[in-house]
Amino acid sequence: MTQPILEIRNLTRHFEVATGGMFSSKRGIVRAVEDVNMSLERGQTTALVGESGCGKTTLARMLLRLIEPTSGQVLVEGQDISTLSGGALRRFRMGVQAVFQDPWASLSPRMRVFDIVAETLVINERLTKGELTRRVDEALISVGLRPDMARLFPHEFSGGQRQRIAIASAIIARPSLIILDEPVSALDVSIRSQIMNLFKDIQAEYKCSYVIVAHDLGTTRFMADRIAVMYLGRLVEEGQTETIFESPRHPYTRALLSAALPIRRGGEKARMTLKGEVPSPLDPPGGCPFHPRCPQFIGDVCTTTLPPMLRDGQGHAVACHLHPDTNRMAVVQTNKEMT
Amino acid sequence: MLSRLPLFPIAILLIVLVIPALFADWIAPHDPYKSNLRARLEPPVFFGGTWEYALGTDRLGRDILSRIMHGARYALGISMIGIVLGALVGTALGLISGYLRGWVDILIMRVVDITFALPSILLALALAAVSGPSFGLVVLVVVFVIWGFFARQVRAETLSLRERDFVARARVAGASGTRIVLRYILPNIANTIIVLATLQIGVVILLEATLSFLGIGIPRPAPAWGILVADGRQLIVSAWWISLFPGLAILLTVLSVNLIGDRLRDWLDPKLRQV
Amino acid sequence: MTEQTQDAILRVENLRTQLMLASGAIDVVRGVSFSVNAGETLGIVGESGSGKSMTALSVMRVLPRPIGRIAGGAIWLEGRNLVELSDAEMTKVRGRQIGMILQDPHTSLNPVFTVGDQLVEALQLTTGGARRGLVARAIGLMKQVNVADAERRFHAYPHQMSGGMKQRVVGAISLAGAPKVIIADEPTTALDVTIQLQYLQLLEDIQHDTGTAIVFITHDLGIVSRLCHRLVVMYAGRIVEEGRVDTVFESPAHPYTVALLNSVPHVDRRVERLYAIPGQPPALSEIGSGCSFAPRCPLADEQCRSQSPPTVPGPDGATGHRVACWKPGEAQ
Repeated sequence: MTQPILEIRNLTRHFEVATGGMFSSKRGIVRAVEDVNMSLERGQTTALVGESGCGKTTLARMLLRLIEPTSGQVLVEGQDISTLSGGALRRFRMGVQAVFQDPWASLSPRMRVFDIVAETLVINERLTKGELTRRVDEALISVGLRPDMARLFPHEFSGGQRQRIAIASAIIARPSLIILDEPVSALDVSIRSQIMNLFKDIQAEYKCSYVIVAHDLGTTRFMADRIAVMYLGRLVEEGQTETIFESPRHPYTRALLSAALPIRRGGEKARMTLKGEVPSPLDPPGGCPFHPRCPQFIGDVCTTTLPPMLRDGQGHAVACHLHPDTNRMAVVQTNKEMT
Repeated sequence: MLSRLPLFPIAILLIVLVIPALFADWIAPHDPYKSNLRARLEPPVFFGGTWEYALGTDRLGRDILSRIMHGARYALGISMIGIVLGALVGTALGLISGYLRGWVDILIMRVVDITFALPSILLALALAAVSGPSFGLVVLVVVFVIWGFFARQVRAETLSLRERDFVARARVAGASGTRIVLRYILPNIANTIIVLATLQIGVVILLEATLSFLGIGIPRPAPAWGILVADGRQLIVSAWWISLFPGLAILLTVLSVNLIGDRLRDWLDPKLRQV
Repeated sequence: MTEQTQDAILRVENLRTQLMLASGAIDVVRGVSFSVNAGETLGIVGESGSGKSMTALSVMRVLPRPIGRIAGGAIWLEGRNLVELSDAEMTKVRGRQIGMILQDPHTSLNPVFTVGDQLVEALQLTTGGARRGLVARAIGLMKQVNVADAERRFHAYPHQMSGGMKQRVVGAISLAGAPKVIIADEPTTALDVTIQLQYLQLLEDIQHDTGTAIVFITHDLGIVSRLCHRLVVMYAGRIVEEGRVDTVFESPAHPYTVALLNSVPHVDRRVERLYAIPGQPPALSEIGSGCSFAPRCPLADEQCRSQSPPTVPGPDGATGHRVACWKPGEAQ
């Protein structure tokens, strides 16, 4: 069996913050990411899904080595990325790339498109000007732009075009893994589909894997092969996209899917609404972090014990006391329970 | 676009500062150092004087107009050199401070605080007592006074820029800290530095004039504007033109520089917001 | 021109709004007409540059000054044309007859006053009365918008509240004057999706209890499907299609509406490829004389490019379904 391109083991990240007033030295700990385990196969796309404060952005930044983990490991092609240096680090930088959310903030206003797109190669490889130009042109064409645009500055382009430039700069080094952090949320609705199709084309052509962070479930269903649902820094459910959408197990996942509003023609109205607000990550509830808002709260076990993440034979994993035994997964609750 | 330039202040600046500074040797009507005791204390032309000494003469019969024109050189020179050096030092330290943060940042900002707390005039007095007034001393004091403004402003912008997505992407591409600072942050704060520098010119010219007035700046017999003002101190009632016109030169220069700086900031500002 | 019903609380007729920029005047709303009935939610759907937000700002007459101005048309609210009112009269209308909920909860509230104070102030401005009585009513409003622990939260500052809760307080403030219509400009864009659902249900409950009409501006078709009874689709400053939500989603008549529906990735089923509308929304300064969607429309012909299309009934014949197109119903 081939090695997964990405493995995340017990990944944890805590932040210390000042919690007292101006003159106090009280510190609190924000558990942004807590004990996450996951893996991603080559050529596949995994989506990290969850709402604000769930830790998906922090997790994505750890995958890029922009933040160091508090504990745990990130393995890319089997290597722990926190130990890389020299040539191995350069290869990592070329092999793992990113596209961020805001096309207006992603490109340095004072750099020409050519320099922006070529940057990864300029830093990590020694290429002649001619070779560099060839690779830049190739990357621009791959994203649907023209090579003669390379000499222009970012402000001369629209949002969708700027995102294409960002994508070109990400793919030029032929990475095996690209982290996409809300890559289309800042774009107009009619442009999003162009970019999403482009991502799929690039995946087919370059055979790369994606980790996509998205809050929009429609985008997620379109792009991802697998979904990992996060809540307050923990993974609560993980599995194949279609399985998660068709038979979600964790109550939070079901609430999330409930809240995703389809464009139904003649829609039904049964929806599962959560009570209350997302609790502060400074002070997460004991036991299962979701229990204060859980519509399917069982009892004491939910307040006292953290449910373990259990995986069934089909690769569908969930951390919930409703599903205590992998051999005997609880029957999927019917719509009646959702109200 | 030309009509949107602040033409009036630019014209004043050119007439009072730049052209005399560059061309005094050719266009000044008299030798600024040459005394002519027969023409001492001549009033300016519309107050009883002649066109020969259009702005009057001082106690030694030296032409005020020519002295002002030659003195412009010092104002311009000090401000150019002082600002460039101050900007270099301040920007470099501001970048380092803002990008590295941690103890380096704290240290540099404490130094800035100390700099602002020390009175520059006293410092200049102390230095002058040790080594005598000189051009170099004035430059040193100027740099001392203004580097902190650059450091703080640059640091603030660096702090905000380093969190931007395009810096994160540069790190993902493998860029080193130096590369990020030089290629990503510095070009995007260039506008701020230019505006700040322009606005500091007024401060610097006033500082130089003050030091020269007190006798601890440009050494005599150079006709620096501050010295010219000092020359007329005791005759302020009877021969008011000796101090007034150099003072006016200082005023007009600083005013026009500030006006231009304001317009420059407004012009560059909306583009700054796009960053 | 929409059909004029007896119940129309708000009726906009041929609204034209301009932005006076240094380079010249740009028409951002180019002849928009719609109406909203009591107890009804109307969705205004469009992308950036469509003019939807400018329309909302025009109705509330809070266009940015001095560059924004209403260049023509009428806005009828309970028998009065808002375009003709003076600033002082309009201030009375805002808050009493029209409530506003804007997009960003973090800037809608004044950070230096408690939320309770801001609510009481809204009540003072709209209904008047002694402060003590108003405090009780303010707490009542907070309960009406489901702010938990309202008595305590009354004394809280905005920064102590989450985005969802702030938006609820903004909702409470908009309700202070018992308005006939609430204009909500993308109020849930900055909220998490489960919080958004709570908020939409809140709006529904409010409408059910008070009969307030709601004009909901959004780019999210899912929200429209859930919340709105009728919708108008805007493109480049004009309305290209309008009708009941189920009608328009079932048989969209305008190629832009069709394209939009086809290009949004669906939550309820997996597809392999999305329909991508070629090109991008036009810059408002560059709109020519023909149909503004023609450059991107697969059906466009010479007539489309040169002549602005009339508004005609939808080919399905449903009531209230109107479309501005030379070839309505031909796109699929």
